Amino acid sequence: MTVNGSHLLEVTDLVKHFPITRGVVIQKQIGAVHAVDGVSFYLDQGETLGIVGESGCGKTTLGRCVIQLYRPTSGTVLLEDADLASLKGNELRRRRRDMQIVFQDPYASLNPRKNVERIVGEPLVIYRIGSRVSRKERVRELLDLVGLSPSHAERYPHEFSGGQRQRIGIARALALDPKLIICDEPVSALDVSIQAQILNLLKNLQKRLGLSYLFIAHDLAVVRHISHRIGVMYLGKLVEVAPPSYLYSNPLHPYTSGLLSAIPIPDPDLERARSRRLLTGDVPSPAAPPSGCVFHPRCFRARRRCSEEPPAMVHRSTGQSCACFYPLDGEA
Amino acid sequence: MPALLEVQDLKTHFFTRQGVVRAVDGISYTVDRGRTVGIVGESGCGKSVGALSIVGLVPNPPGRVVGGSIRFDGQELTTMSKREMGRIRGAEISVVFQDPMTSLNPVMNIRTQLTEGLRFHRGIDGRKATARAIELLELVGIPDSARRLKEFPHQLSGGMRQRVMIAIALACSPKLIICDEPTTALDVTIQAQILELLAQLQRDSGMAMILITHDLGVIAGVTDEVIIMYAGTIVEKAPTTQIFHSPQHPYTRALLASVPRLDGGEREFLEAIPGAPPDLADPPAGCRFSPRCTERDDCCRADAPELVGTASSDHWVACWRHGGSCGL
Repeated sequence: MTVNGSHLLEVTDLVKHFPITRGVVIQKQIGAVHAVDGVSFYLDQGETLGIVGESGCGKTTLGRCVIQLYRPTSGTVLLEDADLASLKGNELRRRRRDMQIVFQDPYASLNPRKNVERIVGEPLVIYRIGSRVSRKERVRELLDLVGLSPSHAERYPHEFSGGQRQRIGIARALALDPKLIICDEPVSALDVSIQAQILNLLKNLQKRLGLSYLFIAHDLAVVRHISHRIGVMYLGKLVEVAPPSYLYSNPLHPYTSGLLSAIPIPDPDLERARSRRLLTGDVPSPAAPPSGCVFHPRCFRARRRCSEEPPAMVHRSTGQSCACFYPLDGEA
Repeated sequence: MPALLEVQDLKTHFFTRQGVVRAVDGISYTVDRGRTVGIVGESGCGKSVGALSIVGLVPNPPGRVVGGSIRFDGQELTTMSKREMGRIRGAEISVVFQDPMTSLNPVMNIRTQLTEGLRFHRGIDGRKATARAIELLELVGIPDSARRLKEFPHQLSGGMRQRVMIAIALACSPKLIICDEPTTALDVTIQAQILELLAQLQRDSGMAMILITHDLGVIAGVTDEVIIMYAGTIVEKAPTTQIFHSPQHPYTRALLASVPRLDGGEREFLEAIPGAPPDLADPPAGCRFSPRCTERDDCCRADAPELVGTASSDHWVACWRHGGSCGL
């Protein structure tokens, strides 16, 4: 068990800056893209934490920093009792077995020259698990688990539809019996009817195998459906974390409410009767984030203090957390 | 008064090495003046090809309109020469494409792209054209428009580029504007801005609009009528409220049930549609949805149902469960 409680994953003050350089031979750093800028959260076993935000808010970078595909600039990523951010080499490799990732694009994330058996079995080969025969057996078991036929093992990715390919990606992620799966926009490339199949599959697997998901998506409706808690990201920072029922009925951060009111509801009466709070303007560049609260230039409640100092995350007894000086349930 | 646009039994096929792909296979609908019609379907259902056929923008080869007629404002479009079509496209009917990153010319400034249509169709040039361009940019909500005219597409954000696309489409005050997934490439907060803008422009100018999208939420807010397409055919068309409140076709019902909703109650599992859409080079016999349909019977597998009116006169469904008989 961990020193500070029993969280499966605990991320503290995670920062990832990508350098902007000038010059070809002699490179000089002239700035940094603040992709992730001081994010903290935890994730328990069997739980799904959804991360939502618009493009460029750093949600994908966050996922990749957790699984150490990017090494964080600073901060800690505790998986059970080990800080992945400070581990290297074999030590890290051993730890990383417990985490897997499912990528967004099922067309680009499967090697077109390998058949399904080699794709799904590759993690087993890398970690030298089992014999050739037992691996073959395991691959068929995994295919069955994700709703594909064991006879599909001989086929190649191009023979499958988008939804089936995403199932192959999930089977590969399950091969090593991980505790945590990072799902990076796993359904955004799929049509709605197929999207529902994959979401149901992920929920089923969680029940059967006790998996934890870090579920990254831009679609708030999808995230609501699958998550136990949801974190909203804006420009590299988490601005609000709350259980879905609170987040959707009673958002605290002005950005969350703006995001929610921008999402169309598939019901003409409700949709036309809604009072909208449209956010104006575009997301600023993460290479030059605004001072103070990063949301203040687009915020309808911004005051002087917002541009002067960044608000800290305040945790409430209801399980909601929000980083805002003037949350929506306070006085205006 | 006849409808502004009448599409009758339109068939657009693609002739590929793998065989004939029947991307659009006999669709009929009308668009009245000043109305907004939404066309919804999943990828590959033919919704874009069907609309691009109207303005002759289907790449030929391999694509070709092989049957049916398209009448726009009294003229037949399918038999027009390229030159005649060129005079209609951009002036009478204009198109807003999905991807604002690739549909603007990266080496032309905004002014040139905005005034191209005015010069070509209306013979307006010089200072007058610039004045109109500034007016158009203000209309679509781009501040500081005089300066923006000199800029190039890469200097604008995605939402701004889509506003420029819309301004270009509006330049010659068309009677019909076709929006092909205008907000799919944009973030939700920007999508909301663009949809609001389109709805307002449509109200003010009284033009008709065809809105193509895969997002049922987008449809709900903006359209008067909805057409649901599946595998190259229309399965249902009805006024927007009826599609959402009393969907008749099993596919429409399944589609609505499979969408995760922001306002929905706690549903543990979504109702997914089993299987995947068919290969249009070799579509299934009978009703094209039958292999995935939970209500299918022998009739559905034997013969394709026609689009027939239901009790309410402007609600049309192509399903054996709702009238007609296949003769079995």
